[in-house]
Amino acid sequence: MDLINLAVKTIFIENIVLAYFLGMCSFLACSKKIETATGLGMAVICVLGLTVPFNWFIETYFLMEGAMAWTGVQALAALDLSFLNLLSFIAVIACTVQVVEMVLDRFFPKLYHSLGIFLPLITVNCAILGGSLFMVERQYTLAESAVYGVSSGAGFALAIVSIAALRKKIRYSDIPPGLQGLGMTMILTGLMSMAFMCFAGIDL
Amino acid sequence: MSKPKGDKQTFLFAFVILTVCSMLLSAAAAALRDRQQMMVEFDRKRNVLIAFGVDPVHEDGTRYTPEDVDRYVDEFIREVIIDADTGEIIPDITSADVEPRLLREKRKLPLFLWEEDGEVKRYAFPVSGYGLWSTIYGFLALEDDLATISGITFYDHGETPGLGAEVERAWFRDQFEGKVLYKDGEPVEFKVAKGRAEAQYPDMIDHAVDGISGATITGKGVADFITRDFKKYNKYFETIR
Amino acid sequence: MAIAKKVITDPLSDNNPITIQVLGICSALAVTVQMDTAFVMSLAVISVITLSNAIISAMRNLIPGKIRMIVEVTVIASLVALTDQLLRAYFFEMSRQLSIFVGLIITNCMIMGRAEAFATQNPVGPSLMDGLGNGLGYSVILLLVASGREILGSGTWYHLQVLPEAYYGNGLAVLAPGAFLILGIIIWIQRTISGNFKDD
Repeated sequence: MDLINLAVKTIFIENIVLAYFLGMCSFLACSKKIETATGLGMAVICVLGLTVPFNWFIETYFLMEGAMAWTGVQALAALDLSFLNLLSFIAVIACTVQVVEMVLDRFFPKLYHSLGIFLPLITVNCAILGGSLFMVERQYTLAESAVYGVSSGAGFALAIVSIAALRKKIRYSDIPPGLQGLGMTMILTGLMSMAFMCFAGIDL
Repeated sequence: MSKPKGDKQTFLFAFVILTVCSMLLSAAAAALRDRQQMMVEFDRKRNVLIAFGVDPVHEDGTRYTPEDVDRYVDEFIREVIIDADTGEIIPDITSADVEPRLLREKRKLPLFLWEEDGEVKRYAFPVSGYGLWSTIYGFLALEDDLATISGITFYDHGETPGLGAEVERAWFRDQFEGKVLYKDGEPVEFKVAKGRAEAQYPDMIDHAVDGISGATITGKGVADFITRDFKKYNKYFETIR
Repeated sequence: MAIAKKVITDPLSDNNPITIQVLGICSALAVTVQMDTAFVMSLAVISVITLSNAIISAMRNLIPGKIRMIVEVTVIASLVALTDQLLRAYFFEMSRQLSIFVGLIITNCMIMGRAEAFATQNPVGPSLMDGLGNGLGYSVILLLVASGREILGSGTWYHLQVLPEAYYGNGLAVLAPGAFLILGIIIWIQRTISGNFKDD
């Protein structure tokens, strides 16, 4: 039950784009067409769903203070390597993206071609690293991390697909020249984020 | 990236870069660790002082240095550790002697005593729990009746600046002074209202404070963990009440 | 010298990383509720981007093409982790307020973008200038958004009371939507003034 609550909370109330501003760059850059938005959304779900639990292992069994107690070596058990977490998380993310890319290329060539160009972009998508950092900050368990990863990806997908639809809708609207494109998208995002804030009233 | 290179060189390069980077980082982390820990410790002590109602600022407006804080702590404050299961003081140790995990899980509870002339005037203990987005940490000080709040401080949290983060502002904290956590022989459920406390909890105004507009969940979290942590310490308080 | 100047001043307005190039927006929004967090964040980003541009440019002929991105990310991540450690040791309270957003400088696409687009193709000197210029251009917007949000949201500017005490503070400005709206308006003004209507 808690896990379902966590998922609802992560997708709607604490939407990673609309409440935390993470992944804004690709959110703005890839939302011109609904197809690309959907593709990127799916890719983010995959990568977040994989990297958050994986980074959980790294944090819990290697980096945290006393994390290496399982080795049974006294000197290792006392180590606190948490200062390496940024470096190792980003490395894990880069590798995961690379592996996902290869797997898709080999087994799902069609999907690979539609997602292809977005995958490398994902390495520097702050939503991905943000997911792992929040996982550490909030001290999630393994199950929670997995749910958190997938549902923040779903939150991202939801946000980017909706904004792409909105942008398509206003394509022929008469907008002042300076506001066209980025400016209008920001304001739309603002309105959308306001709408999402209403979910905060849900009592979980 | 000028000309294509062999796999061997690629691996070698990656290896060298990674080694150099992590060596540099480890060196930096090792060099800065003492200072970081000192800052954490200083911050903790300073916040215990604030909870006890000492404003850690000199008359000329400069802030207390770590030495100033230590002087106060040495003169007035004594730390004891309580076993959460038995509610008894474990003699002759401080939190530095306890495994961090036990402190984190609140199995061993640190309690700060403000002593004047050998008599305990006030008690302070750490409180912490979830707000909206993050764990909020603070200290709560009680009068010697072991029920009335004399002061509270929140010092670490990741709540939204301007909303949940208002918990650390004076207007919010000052309201806690004089509120009561223990009545008719048992702990009360403390409340942070959604808006004005008079409006929402008119008949338990002694146990409720005004909420922060836009940060209802943070407020609820604060109220819940104050109640919960007080109950933990109450086991010990019952033995001396 | 003229080129060096152009490299620095261009990103301040005509080619601003946030309003024109649409890079690095995440942190522009997250840390701008108050001026002081925005200011420290700006300093952190300026130092990271300047150094990372310089380092990557110095290595540009050594980096194997295949792992170029990974090397860039590693350099940036190390610099950011270093910044994080320094903030923790010397600006303790500030580092706590910025929480995970210091770490997220790594994924600030502006830094990666400049490393990829400029530093891998130019000598150290200009790359350094380019980093500095983009860092400054980024900071200008960050501080503008923060000014707007702090003044509207709390009636203060850098904790100084600028609006009458009676001003209650507009809750919307401190919330996420306020950030989007204010940035949207800044982009509008900036693009109208600079006459750059590139549709993105």
